[in-house]
Amino acid sequence: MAEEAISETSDIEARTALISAALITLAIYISSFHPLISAIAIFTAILSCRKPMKVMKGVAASLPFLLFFAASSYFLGGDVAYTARVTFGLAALIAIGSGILYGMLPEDLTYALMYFRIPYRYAFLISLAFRMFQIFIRDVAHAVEALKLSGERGLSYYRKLIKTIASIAVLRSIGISETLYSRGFNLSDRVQPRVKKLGSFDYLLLLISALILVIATFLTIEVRGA
Amino acid sequence: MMDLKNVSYTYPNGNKALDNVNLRIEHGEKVFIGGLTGTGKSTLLRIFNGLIPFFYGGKLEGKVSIYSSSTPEEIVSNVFFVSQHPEEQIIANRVADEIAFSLVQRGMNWEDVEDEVVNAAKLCGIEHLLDRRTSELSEGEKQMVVIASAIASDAKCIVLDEPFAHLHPSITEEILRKLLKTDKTVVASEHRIELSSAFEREIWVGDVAHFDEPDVDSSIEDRVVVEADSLSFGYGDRLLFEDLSFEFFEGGIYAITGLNGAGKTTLLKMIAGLVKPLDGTLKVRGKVSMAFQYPNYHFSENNVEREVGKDLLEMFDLTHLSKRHPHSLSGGEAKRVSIAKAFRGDIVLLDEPTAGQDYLFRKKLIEVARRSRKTVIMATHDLKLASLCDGVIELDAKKNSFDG
Repeated sequence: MAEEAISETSDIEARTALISAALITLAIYISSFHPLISAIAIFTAILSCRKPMKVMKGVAASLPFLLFFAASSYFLGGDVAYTARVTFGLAALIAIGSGILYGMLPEDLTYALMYFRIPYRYAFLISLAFRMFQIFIRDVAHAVEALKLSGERGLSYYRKLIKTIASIAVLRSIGISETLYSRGFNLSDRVQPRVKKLGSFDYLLLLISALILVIATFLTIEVRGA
Repeated sequence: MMDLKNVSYTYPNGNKALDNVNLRIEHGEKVFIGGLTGTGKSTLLRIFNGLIPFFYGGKLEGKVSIYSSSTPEEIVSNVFFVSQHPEEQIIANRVADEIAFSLVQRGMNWEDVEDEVVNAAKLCGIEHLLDRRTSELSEGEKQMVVIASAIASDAKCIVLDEPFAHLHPSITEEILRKLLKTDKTVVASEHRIELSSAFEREIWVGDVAHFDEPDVDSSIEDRVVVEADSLSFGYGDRLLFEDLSFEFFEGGIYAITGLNGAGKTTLLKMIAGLVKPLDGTLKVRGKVSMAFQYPNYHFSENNVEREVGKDLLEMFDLTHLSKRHPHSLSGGEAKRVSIAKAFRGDIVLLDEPTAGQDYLFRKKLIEVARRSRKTVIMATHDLKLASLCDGVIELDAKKNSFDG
């Protein structure tokens, strides 16, 4: 029985999402994690997502990672200001990932990559990885339940869990490969990308992303000039 | 037309699966393939769509002609293969994309693909699922999506290996009726032999065996081991069942039936203590063990004997597998081993125990359950199996019933 869930899909066209995410990421990097750019990036991510809370949750979920990153950065020689700036930048990158790409179908990303001349067999890896990840998570949950019922404890529990999961992952890979072969995956190399029309919001997002990059470039030149 | 002349096949590990098979299936024929577990039905079906020898390798002897195809690509285009594990057959992340997958691989343009997808989904009664994520679907819904993909494909033949194991009989009947109406060749291997009458022709692989029912004590103890009072459960706004009350007695055999997604597995997990009810009380007295639908979740040892134990292997006539690695077993064998392992507990929970098993296994399972004197609770779509039980819970969100 599958757990009840609500399908959510993004309103942003996949090519727009890829370009915007790339431009904003580039802007954050070339500005050397400038707080202004990071703040605008977070704001853009919230604006572009149908469910802003998802962006917040994405950042909140990565809080342990951010804290670990901040501590490492500080103890490895960075001062407080530098640590805060880089950590804030990292949070912005996560927000961009969970905001702009949230709800995007992996298939749409595959076709967007094909539009940018990435061969189908490589572009499709995104969809496949996503699907395999879902199967893996489900298998882990079930294997944990099965072991829980068997009463295993301590080290033996983890040893058995790893053995089970590793074996199942191999079997699933063979099963999925068999299905891909049976469905004629890329046999004829004739797959056509599905291209959707850009909406007004897509143009707006592209414009904002380009502006962020321009601002970042300007700030970089100004800092170097000074 | 598919024609096999003097075909023998040996897997790369040296196991001979088929020996001198002669078979001819005309285009448009609807063929049922029956036989006991391990007689080579799945191997035969994999030859039809080229998985054997092009994907699996091994040694294929004799003459194979599949719609006069000369390349693996042509064979795959002509024959659509549906296997018994829906989870491994779903490639796309959205239902519509999954149904479209084969057509997209052949370079069809998207406008035409959309029409084909909608038509196939309507035929299978799953048009409401088209925009859903495939990860949100139940096993039964996934299998429906795969069958819709087969119908949507431009293949001349659909080959199905245990396609209905995860579907409720009423849905199976409906799908089968629609599948057999198509002008495609349909070749299906299925252990539920009662379905064979719907096909034009039956082919039996291996010997037809009979099960001699031994005389076993079918009495039930007075002691209640599972006691449920006004149970309810649901996800979000969707209620699976409510106000469900029942008592299971020691040594009894019980079945939980219901449509796909009715909550059968959830109820089993609730008895196992893996899921908590939203409301009501559930008392379980005894050690619970469970066999999930996918058997490999239960395997972590290097051989079957260590996994299950000698006594249980003997009870289930599985001693010939004792030295095998559990993850190397076929689907049917793995299922039996996982069921045997579940009999370590006092209360044995089995999720779809007859899926992928031959017609003799139903009676064998009941016989072993009676002999073991354990309480066995099974979630099943197999109504014949349910009819052999001491009590049946039929799950329905509107009206649950317990007969027993």
